[in-house]
Amino acid sequence: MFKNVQEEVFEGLITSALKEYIAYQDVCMPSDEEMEEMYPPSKKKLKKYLRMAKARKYNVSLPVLYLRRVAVVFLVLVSVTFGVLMTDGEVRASVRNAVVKWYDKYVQISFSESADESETNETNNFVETTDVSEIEQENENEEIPDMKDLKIGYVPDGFELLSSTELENTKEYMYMGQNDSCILINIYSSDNTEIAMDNEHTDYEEICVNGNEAYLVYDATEQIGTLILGNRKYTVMINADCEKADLIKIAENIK
Amino acid sequence: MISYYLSLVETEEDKEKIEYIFNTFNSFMSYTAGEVLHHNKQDVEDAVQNAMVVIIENLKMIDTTDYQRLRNLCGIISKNKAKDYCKLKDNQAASLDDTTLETLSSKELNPEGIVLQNDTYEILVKAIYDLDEKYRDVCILKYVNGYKEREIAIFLDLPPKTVSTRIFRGKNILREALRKEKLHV
Repeated sequence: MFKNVQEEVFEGLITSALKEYIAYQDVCMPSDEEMEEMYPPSKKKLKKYLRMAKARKYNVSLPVLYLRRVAVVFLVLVSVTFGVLMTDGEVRASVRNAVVKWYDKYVQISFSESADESETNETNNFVETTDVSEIEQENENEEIPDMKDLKIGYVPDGFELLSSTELENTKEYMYMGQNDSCILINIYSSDNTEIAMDNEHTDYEEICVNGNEAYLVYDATEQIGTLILGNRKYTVMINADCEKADLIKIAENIK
Repeated sequence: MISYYLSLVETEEDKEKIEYIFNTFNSFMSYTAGEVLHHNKQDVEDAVQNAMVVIIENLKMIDTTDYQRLRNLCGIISKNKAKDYCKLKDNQAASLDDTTLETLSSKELNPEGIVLQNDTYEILVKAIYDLDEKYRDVCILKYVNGYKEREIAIFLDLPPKTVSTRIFRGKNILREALRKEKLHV
Protein backbone atom coordinates (compact mmCIF):
# COMPACT_ATOMS: atom_id res chain seq x y z
CA MET A 1 0.00 0.00 0.00
CA PHE A 2 2.73 2.43 1.09
CA LYS A 3 4.82 1.35 -1.87
CA ASN A 4 1.95 2.10 -4.24
CA VAL A 5 1.49 5.58 -2.80
CA GLN A 6 5.24 6.14 -3.01
CA GLU A 7 5.15 5.03 -6.67
CA GLU A 8 2.26 7.35 -7.45
CA VAL A 9 4.03 10.29 -5.83
CA PHE A 10 7.15 9.48 -7.81
CA GLU A 11 5.21 9.28 -11.05
CA GLY A 12 3.50 12.59 -10.23
CA LEU A 13 6.91 14.18 -9.75
CA ILE A 14 8.12 12.70 -13.02
CA THR A 15 5.06 14.14 -14.79
CA SER A 16 5.70 17.61 -13.39
CA ALA A 17 9.38 17.42 -14.22
CA LEU A 18 8.63 16.28 -17.76
CA LYS A 19 6.16 19.16 -18.20
CA GLU A 20 8.87 21.54 -17.09
CA TYR A 21 11.24 19.94 -19.55
CA ILE A 22 8.71 20.40 -22.37
CA ALA A 23 8.16 24.01 -21.36
CA TYR A 24 11.91 24.62 -21.56
CA GLN A 25 12.04 22.92 -24.92
CA ASP A 26 9.33 25.25 -26.19
CA VAL A 27 11.27 28.26 -24.93
CA CYS A 28 14.36 27.01 -26.75
CA MET A 29 12.49 26.61 -29.96
CA PRO A 30 11.92 29.36 -32.46
CA SER A 31 8.45 30.85 -32.57
CA ASP A 32 5.77 29.30 -34.79
CA GLU A 33 6.22 32.15 -37.29
CA GLU A 34 9.95 31.52 -37.49
CA MET A 35 9.37 27.81 -37.97
CA GLU A 36 6.82 28.54 -40.69
CA GLU A 37 9.39 30.70 -42.43
CA MET A 38 11.88 27.86 -42.30
CA TYR A 39 9.40 25.22 -43.31
CA PRO A 40 6.44 26.86 -45.01
CA PRO A 41 3.42 24.57 -45.31
CA SER A 42 2.32 24.09 -48.88
CA LYS A 43 -1.09 23.17 -50.24
CA LYS A 44 0.58 20.64 -52.51
CA LYS A 45 1.89 18.74 -49.49
CA LEU A 46 -1.49 18.85 -47.79
CA LYS A 47 -3.15 17.43 -50.90
CA LYS A 48 -0.51 14.71 -50.97
CA TYR A 49 -1.28 13.75 -47.37
CA LEU A 50 -5.01 13.74 -48.03
CA ARG A 51 -4.46 11.43 -50.99
CA MET A 52 -2.23 9.24 -48.84
CA ALA A 53 -4.94 9.12 -46.19
CA LYS A 54 -7.50 8.03 -48.73
CA ALA A 55 -5.19 5.40 -50.22
CA ARG A 56 -4.19 4.03 -46.81
CA LYS A 57 -7.74 4.00 -45.55
CA TYR A 58 -8.68 1.52 -48.23
CA ASN A 59 -5.30 -0.21 -48.12
CA VAL A 60 -4.50 0.42 -51.75
CA SER A 61 -1.69 2.15 -53.58
CA LEU A 62 -2.27 5.53 -55.22
CA PRO A 63 -2.34 4.16 -58.82
CA VAL A 64 -4.96 1.61 -57.76
CA LEU A 65 -6.95 4.40 -56.15
CA TYR A 66 -6.90 6.36 -59.43
CA LEU A 67 -7.85 3.25 -61.38
CA ARG A 68 -10.78 2.74 -59.02
CA ARG A 69 -11.87 6.28 -59.62
CA VAL A 70 -11.75 5.72 -63.38
CA ALA A 71 -13.66 2.46 -62.94
CA VAL A 72 -16.32 4.21 -60.88
CA VAL A 73 -16.75 6.95 -63.50
CA PHE A 74 -16.96 4.29 -66.20
CA LEU A 75 -19.54 2.31 -64.24
CA VAL A 76 -21.63 5.41 -63.65
CA LEU A 77 -21.54 6.20 -67.38
CA VAL A 78 -22.47 2.63 -68.28
CA SER A 79 -25.29 2.64 -65.71
CA VAL A 80 -26.68 5.91 -67.04
CA THR A 81 -26.48 4.69 -70.66
CA PHE A 82 -28.13 1.41 -69.69
CA GLY A 83 -30.85 3.28 -67.84
CA VAL A 84 -31.53 5.46 -70.87
CA LEU A 85 -31.59 2.45 -73.21
CA MET A 86 -33.97 0.59 -70.91
CA THR A 87 -36.62 3.20 -71.54
CA ASP A 88 -37.03 1.59 -74.96
CA GLY A 89 -39.48 -1.34 -75.02
CA GLU A 90 -37.51 -3.47 -77.47
CA VAL A 91 -34.35 -3.17 -75.42
CA ARG A 92 -36.27 -4.19 -72.31
CA ALA A 93 -37.62 -7.26 -74.08
CA SER A 94 -34.17 -8.25 -75.37
CA VAL A 95 -32.65 -7.86 -71.92
CA ARG A 96 -35.39 -9.96 -70.40
CA ASN A 97 -34.81 -12.73 -72.94
CA ALA A 98 -31.07 -12.63 -72.43
CA VAL A 99 -31.44 -12.85 -68.66
CA VAL A 100 -33.84 -15.78 -68.92
CA LYS A 101 -31.50 -17.60 -71.31
CA TRP A 102 -28.40 -17.01 -69.18
CA TYR A 103 -30.07 -18.17 -66.02
CA ASP A 104 -28.59 -21.64 -65.83
CA LYS A 105 -30.90 -23.00 -63.18
CA TYR A 106 -33.66 -23.31 -65.71
CA VAL A 107 -34.26 -25.23 -68.86
CA GLN A 108 -36.42 -23.46 -71.34
CA ILE A 109 -38.12 -25.51 -73.97
CA SER A 110 -39.94 -23.94 -76.90
CA PHE A 111 -42.30 -25.76 -79.17
CA SER A 112 -43.03 -23.92 -82.36
CA GLU A 113 -44.77 -24.69 -85.58
CA SER A 114 -42.85 -22.11 -87.59
CA ALA A 115 -40.54 -23.70 -90.15
CA ASP A 116 -37.85 -21.01 -90.00
CA GLU A 117 -36.88 -21.81 -86.42
CA SER A 118 -34.22 -24.45 -86.25
CA GLU A 119 -33.42 -26.89 -83.50
CA THR A 120 -30.73 -25.74 -81.10
CA ASN A 121 -29.07 -27.76 -78.42
CA GLU A 122 -26.81 -25.54 -76.40
CA THR A 123 -24.30 -26.87 -73.91
CA ASN A 124 -25.68 -27.40 -70.43
CA ASN A 125 -29.15 -27.20 -71.89
CA PHE A 126 -29.72 -23.57 -71.23
CA VAL A 127 -32.10 -23.41 -74.15
CA GLU A 128 -33.82 -26.11 -76.04
CA THR A 129 -35.80 -25.15 -79.06
CA THR A 130 -37.43 -27.92 -80.98
CA ASP A 131 -38.63 -27.31 -84.46
CA VAL A 132 -41.69 -29.49 -84.55
CA SER A 133 -41.78 -29.46 -88.32
CA GLU A 134 -38.52 -31.45 -88.45
CA ILE A 135 -39.82 -34.08 -86.08
CA GLU A 136 -42.94 -34.11 -88.14
CA GLN A 137 -40.89 -34.93 -91.24
CA GLU A 138 -39.13 -37.74 -89.43
CA ASN A 139 -42.42 -39.18 -88.24
CA GLU A 140 -44.21 -38.43 -91.44
CA ASN A 141 -46.06 -41.68 -91.50
CA GLU A 142 -47.24 -41.51 -87.92
CA GLU A 143 -50.61 -40.00 -87.37
CA ILE A 144 -50.73 -37.59 -84.47
CA PRO A 145 -53.98 -37.62 -82.55
CA ASP A 146 -55.74 -34.38 -81.77
CA MET A 147 -55.32 -32.95 -78.33
CA LYS A 148 -58.96 -33.50 -77.49
CA ASP A 149 -58.65 -37.24 -78.24
CA LEU A 150 -55.68 -37.80 -75.91
CA LYS A 151 -56.17 -40.28 -73.10
CA ILE A 152 -53.98 -41.12 -70.11
CA GLY A 153 -53.25 -44.80 -70.66
CA TYR A 154 -51.17 -45.54 -67.60
CA VAL A 155 -50.60 -44.34 -64.06
CA PRO A 156 -48.58 -46.34 -61.50
CA ASP A 157 -50.43 -48.48 -58.98
CA GLY A 158 -51.79 -46.65 -55.96
CA PHE A 159 -52.57 -43.39 -57.78
CA GLU A 160 -56.15 -42.27 -58.22
CA LEU A 161 -57.56 -39.46 -60.27
CA LEU A 162 -58.30 -36.54 -57.95
CA SER A 163 -59.31 -33.88 -60.44
CA SER A 164 -59.37 -33.23 -64.15
CA THR A 165 -59.90 -30.07 -66.17
CA GLU A 166 -60.45 -30.08 -69.91
CA LEU A 167 -60.57 -26.80 -71.79
CA GLU A 168 -60.11 -25.92 -75.45
CA ASN A 169 -56.36 -25.33 -75.32
CA THR A 170 -55.38 -27.06 -72.11
CA LYS A 171 -56.04 -30.18 -70.11
CA GLU A 172 -55.00 -30.95 -66.57
CA TYR A 173 -55.17 -34.23 -64.65
CA MET A 174 -54.17 -34.66 -61.05
CA TYR A 175 -53.62 -38.08 -59.47
CA MET A 176 -52.96 -38.60 -55.78
CA GLY A 177 -51.14 -41.59 -54.36
CA GLN A 178 -50.04 -42.77 -50.92
CA ASN A 179 -48.03 -40.45 -48.66
CA ASP A 180 -49.29 -37.38 -50.52
CA SER A 181 -47.43 -38.35 -53.68
CA CYS A 182 -48.89 -36.73 -56.73
CA ILE A 183 -48.88 -36.89 -60.50
CA LEU A 184 -49.85 -33.79 -62.42
CA ILE A 185 -50.28 -34.02 -66.17
CA ASN A 186 -50.76 -30.87 -68.24
CA ILE A 187 -51.45 -30.93 -71.92
CA TYR A 188 -51.25 -27.70 -73.93
CA SER A 189 -51.95 -27.01 -77.54
CA SER A 190 -48.63 -26.49 -79.34
CA ASP A 191 -49.06 -22.88 -80.18
CA ASN A 192 -45.62 -21.55 -79.49
CA THR A 193 -45.61 -23.13 -76.07
CA GLU A 194 -42.64 -22.16 -73.90
CA ILE A 195 -41.94 -24.05 -70.71
CA ALA A 196 -39.24 -23.20 -68.16
CA MET A 197 -38.17 -25.76 -65.59
CA ASP A 198 -36.04 -25.54 -62.48
CA ASN A 199 -33.23 -28.04 -63.03
CA GLU A 200 -31.12 -27.21 -59.97
CA HIS A 201 -29.84 -30.34 -58.14
CA THR A 202 -31.42 -32.59 -60.78
CA ASP A 203 -30.27 -34.71 -63.70
CA TYR A 204 -31.29 -33.46 -67.08
CA GLU A 205 -31.53 -35.73 -70.08
CA GLU A 206 -33.11 -35.95 -73.48
CA ILE A 207 -34.96 -39.12 -74.26
CA CYS A 208 -37.18 -40.48 -76.99
CA VAL A 209 -40.83 -41.18 -76.23
CA ASN A 210 -42.94 -42.77 -78.96
CA GLY A 211 -40.54 -41.38 -81.58
CA ASN A 212 -40.78 -37.86 -80.20
CA GLU A 213 -38.00 -36.02 -78.48
CA ALA A 214 -38.68 -35.54 -74.79
CA TYR A 215 -36.90 -33.73 -71.97
CA LEU A 216 -36.60 -35.32 -68.58
CA VAL A 217 -35.53 -33.54 -65.40
CA TYR A 218 -35.32 -36.02 -62.55
CA ASP A 219 -34.18 -35.86 -58.94
CA ALA A 220 -33.23 -39.43 -58.07
CA THR A 221 -32.83 -38.66 -54.35
CA GLU A 222 -36.32 -37.26 -53.91
CA GLN A 223 -37.79 -39.40 -56.72
CA ILE A 224 -39.44 -36.38 -58.26
CA GLY A 225 -39.30 -35.61 -61.94
CA THR A 226 -40.72 -33.64 -64.81
CA LEU A 227 -41.02 -34.92 -68.32
CA ILE A 228 -41.91 -32.73 -71.28
CA LEU A 229 -42.64 -33.88 -74.75
CA GLY A 230 -44.25 -32.19 -77.66
CA ASN A 231 -45.23 -32.35 -81.28
CA ARG A 232 -46.98 -30.20 -83.83
CA LYS A 233 -50.32 -30.44 -82.10
CA TYR A 234 -49.69 -30.54 -78.38
CA THR A 235 -47.20 -30.36 -75.57
CA VAL A 236 -47.36 -32.63 -72.54
CA MET A 237 -45.80 -31.85 -69.21
CA ILE A 238 -45.82 -34.49 -66.48
CA ASN A 239 -44.78 -33.69 -62.91
CA ALA A 240 -44.68 -36.82 -60.79
CA ASP A 241 -43.48 -38.23 -57.47
CA CYS A 242 -42.58 -41.65 -58.80
CA GLU A 243 -39.77 -43.69 -60.26
CA LYS A 244 -38.16 -42.58 -63.47
CA ALA A 245 -39.34 -45.69 -65.36
CA ASP A 246 -42.94 -45.02 -64.29
CA LEU A 247 -42.66 -41.39 -65.38
CA ILE A 248 -41.50 -42.45 -68.84
CA LYS A 249 -44.18 -45.12 -69.01
CA ILE A 250 -46.89 -42.52 -68.22
CA ALA A 251 -45.60 -40.40 -71.11
CA GLU A 252 -45.48 -43.36 -73.49
CA ASN A 253 -49.11 -44.19 -72.71
CA ILE A 254 -50.58 -40.78 -73.40
CA LYS A 255 -52.13 -41.49 -76.78
CA MET B 1 -22.59 -0.97 -55.56
CA ILE B 2 -23.81 2.04 -53.64
CA SER B 3 -21.70 1.08 -50.65
CA TYR B 4 -18.71 0.86 -52.98
CA TYR B 5 -19.31 4.39 -54.23
CA LEU B 6 -19.75 5.60 -50.67
CA SER B 7 -16.58 3.89 -49.51
CA LEU B 8 -14.63 5.99 -51.96
CA VAL B 9 -15.76 9.15 -50.30
CA GLU B 10 -13.38 10.16 -47.56
CA THR B 11 -14.99 11.05 -44.26
CA GLU B 12 -15.10 14.76 -43.61
CA GLU B 13 -13.88 14.25 -40.04
CA ASP B 14 -10.67 12.55 -41.17
CA LYS B 15 -10.07 15.24 -43.75
CA GLU B 16 -10.54 17.97 -41.19
CA LYS B 17 -8.19 16.24 -38.74
CA ILE B 18 -5.43 15.93 -41.33
CA GLU B 19 -5.88 19.53 -42.42
CA TYR B 20 -5.74 20.72 -38.80
CA ILE B 21 -2.63 18.69 -37.97
CA PHE B 22 -0.91 19.79 -41.15
CA ASN B 23 -1.75 23.47 -40.85
CA THR B 24 -0.96 23.63 -37.14
CA PHE B 25 2.03 21.35 -36.71
CA ASN B 26 3.70 20.83 -40.08
CA SER B 27 6.32 23.53 -39.48
CA PHE B 28 6.85 22.37 -35.90
CA MET B 29 7.26 18.77 -37.01
CA SER B 30 9.65 19.85 -39.75
CA TYR B 31 11.68 21.87 -37.29
CA THR B 32 11.82 18.99 -34.79
CA ALA B 33 12.92 16.59 -37.51
CA GLY B 34 15.33 19.25 -38.79
CA GLU B 35 17.06 19.33 -35.40
CA VAL B 36 18.03 15.70 -35.92
CA LEU B 37 18.71 15.96 -39.62
CA HIS B 38 20.73 19.21 -39.55
CA HIS B 39 17.87 20.96 -41.33
CA ASN B 40 18.53 19.22 -44.60
CA LYS B 41 15.25 20.14 -46.29
CA GLN B 42 14.93 17.05 -48.45
CA ASP B 43 15.61 14.70 -45.54
CA VAL B 44 13.29 16.68 -43.27
CA GLU B 45 10.51 16.44 -45.82
CA ASP B 46 10.91 12.67 -46.05
CA ALA B 47 11.00 12.24 -42.27
CA VAL B 48 7.91 14.43 -41.77
CA GLN B 49 6.11 12.51 -44.47
CA ASN B 50 6.90 9.26 -42.62
CA ALA B 51 5.61 10.84 -39.43
CA MET B 52 2.44 11.94 -41.20
CA VAL B 53 1.95 8.37 -42.42
CA VAL B 54 1.96 7.20 -38.78
CA ILE B 55 -0.51 9.93 -37.85
CA ILE B 56 -2.77 9.20 -40.82
CA GLU B 57 -2.73 5.47 -40.09
CA ASN B 58 -3.79 6.13 -36.50
CA LEU B 59 -6.16 9.05 -36.98
CA LYS B 60 -8.79 7.41 -34.82
CA MET B 61 -6.47 7.49 -31.82
CA ILE B 62 -5.63 11.14 -32.30
CA ASP B 63 -7.49 13.76 -30.34
CA THR B 64 -7.30 17.18 -31.92
CA THR B 65 -9.02 18.97 -29.05
CA ASP B 66 -5.92 19.05 -26.81
CA TYR B 67 -3.39 21.29 -28.56
CA GLN B 68 -0.42 20.67 -26.26
CA ARG B 69 -0.95 16.91 -26.15
CA LEU B 70 -1.10 16.71 -29.93
CA ARG B 71 1.89 19.00 -30.32
CA ASN B 72 3.98 16.77 -28.05
CA LEU B 73 2.86 13.70 -29.94
CA CYS B 74 3.58 15.19 -33.38
CA GLY B 75 6.99 16.41 -32.19
CA ILE B 76 7.99 13.05 -30.76
CA ILE B 77 6.77 11.10 -33.77
CA SER B 78 8.61 13.33 -36.23
CA LYS B 79 11.75 13.24 -34.07
CA ASN B 80 11.61 9.45 -34.01
CA LYS B 81 11.02 9.25 -37.72
CA ALA B 82 13.97 11.58 -38.27
CA LYS B 83 16.14 9.28 -36.15
CA ASP B 84 14.88 6.28 -38.11
CA TYR B 85 15.68 8.16 -41.31
CA CYS B 86 19.21 8.81 -40.05
CA LYS B 87 19.69 5.14 -39.31
CA LEU B 88 18.28 4.22 -42.68
CA LYS B 89 20.55 6.54 -44.57
CA ASP B 90 23.46 5.62 -42.35
CA ASN B 91 23.78 9.31 -41.87
CA GLN B 92 26.38 10.77 -39.60
CA ALA B 93 23.81 12.99 -38.08
CA ALA B 94 24.37 13.67 -34.46
CA SER B 95 22.28 11.82 -31.95
CA LEU B 96 19.22 13.56 -30.68
CA ASP B 97 20.73 13.97 -27.26
CA ASP B 98 23.68 15.86 -28.70
CA THR B 99 21.38 17.94 -30.83
CA THR B 100 19.19 18.82 -27.90
CA LEU B 101 22.13 19.83 -25.79
CA GLU B 102 23.57 21.75 -28.70
CA THR B 103 20.31 23.61 -29.11
CA LEU B 104 20.16 24.36 -25.45
CA SER B 105 23.71 25.66 -25.26
CA SER B 106 23.22 27.72 -28.39
CA LYS B 107 20.33 29.37 -26.67
CA GLU B 108 22.45 29.75 -23.54
CA LEU B 109 20.06 27.68 -21.55
CA ASN B 110 22.20 25.40 -19.48
CA PRO B 111 20.16 22.57 -17.93
CA GLU B 112 22.48 22.77 -14.94
CA GLY B 113 21.13 26.24 -14.37
CA ILE B 114 17.66 24.85 -13.98
CA VAL B 115 18.66 23.26 -10.70
CA LEU B 116 18.52 26.18 -8.36
CA GLN B 117 18.02 24.28 -5.17
CA ASN B 118 19.20 20.88 -4.27
CA ASP B 119 15.85 19.30 -3.61
CA THR B 120 14.19 16.19 -4.98
CA TYR B 121 12.13 17.84 -7.68
CA GLU B 122 14.98 19.84 -9.17
CA ILE B 123 17.28 16.86 -9.17
CA LEU B 124 14.55 15.04 -11.04
CA VAL B 125 14.25 17.82 -13.64
CA LYS B 126 18.00 17.72 -14.18
CA ALA B 127 17.89 13.92 -14.44
CA ILE B 128 15.22 14.22 -17.10
CA TYR B 129 17.51 16.45 -19.16
CA ASP B 130 20.24 13.85 -18.80
CA LEU B 131 17.87 11.01 -19.59
CA ASP B 132 18.34 9.27 -22.91
CA GLU B 133 15.86 10.56 -25.49
CA LYS B 134 14.40 7.10 -26.10
CA TYR B 135 13.37 6.82 -22.43
CA ARG B 136 12.25 10.43 -22.18
CA ASP B 137 9.95 10.27 -25.22
CA VAL B 138 7.98 7.28 -23.97
CA CYS B 139 7.78 8.86 -20.50
CA ILE B 140 6.40 12.10 -21.96
CA LEU B 141 3.81 10.23 -23.98
CA LYS B 142 2.80 8.14 -20.97
CA TYR B 143 2.97 10.57 -18.04
CA VAL B 144 2.32 13.93 -19.69
CA ASN B 145 0.10 12.98 -22.59
CA GLY B 146 -1.60 10.02 -20.93
CA TYR B 147 -1.25 7.60 -23.82
CA LYS B 148 -1.41 3.89 -23.10
CA GLU B 149 1.67 1.80 -23.69
CA ARG B 150 -0.07 0.03 -26.55
CA GLU B 151 -0.80 3.37 -28.24
CA ILE B 152 2.78 4.59 -27.72
CA ALA B 153 4.02 1.38 -29.33
CA ILE B 154 1.87 2.10 -32.38
CA PHE B 155 2.93 5.75 -32.66
CA LEU B 156 6.63 5.01 -32.28
CA ASP B 157 6.52 1.81 -34.31
CA LEU B 158 7.94 -0.23 -31.43
CA PRO B 159 6.93 -3.53 -29.87
CA PRO B 160 4.73 -2.92 -26.78
CA LYS B 161 7.25 -4.83 -24.66
CA THR B 162 9.98 -2.37 -25.66
CA VAL B 163 7.79 0.54 -24.61
CA SER B 164 7.16 -1.06 -21.20
CA THR B 165 10.88 -1.75 -20.78
CA ARG B 166 11.80 1.81 -21.72
CA ILE B 167 9.34 3.27 -19.23
CA PHE B 168 10.61 0.93 -16.51
CA ARG B 169 14.25 1.69 -17.26
CA GLY B 170 13.60 5.43 -17.55
CA LYS B 171 11.98 5.44 -14.13
CA ASN B 172 14.86 3.42 -12.69
CA ILE B 173 17.41 5.86 -14.09
CA LEU B 174 15.52 8.78 -12.53
CA ARG B 175 15.24 6.89 -9.24
CA GLU B 176 18.96 6.16 -9.36
CA ALA B 177 19.68 9.85 -9.96
CA LEU B 178 17.77 10.68 -6.77
CA ARG B 179 19.54 7.94 -4.82
CA LYS B 180 22.91 9.32 -5.87
CA GLU B 181 21.95 12.59 -4.27
CA LYS B 182 20.81 10.57 -1.26
CA LEU B 183 17.26 11.65 -1.89
CA HIS B 184 14.26 9.38 -1.79
CA VAL B 185 10.65 9.76 -2.75
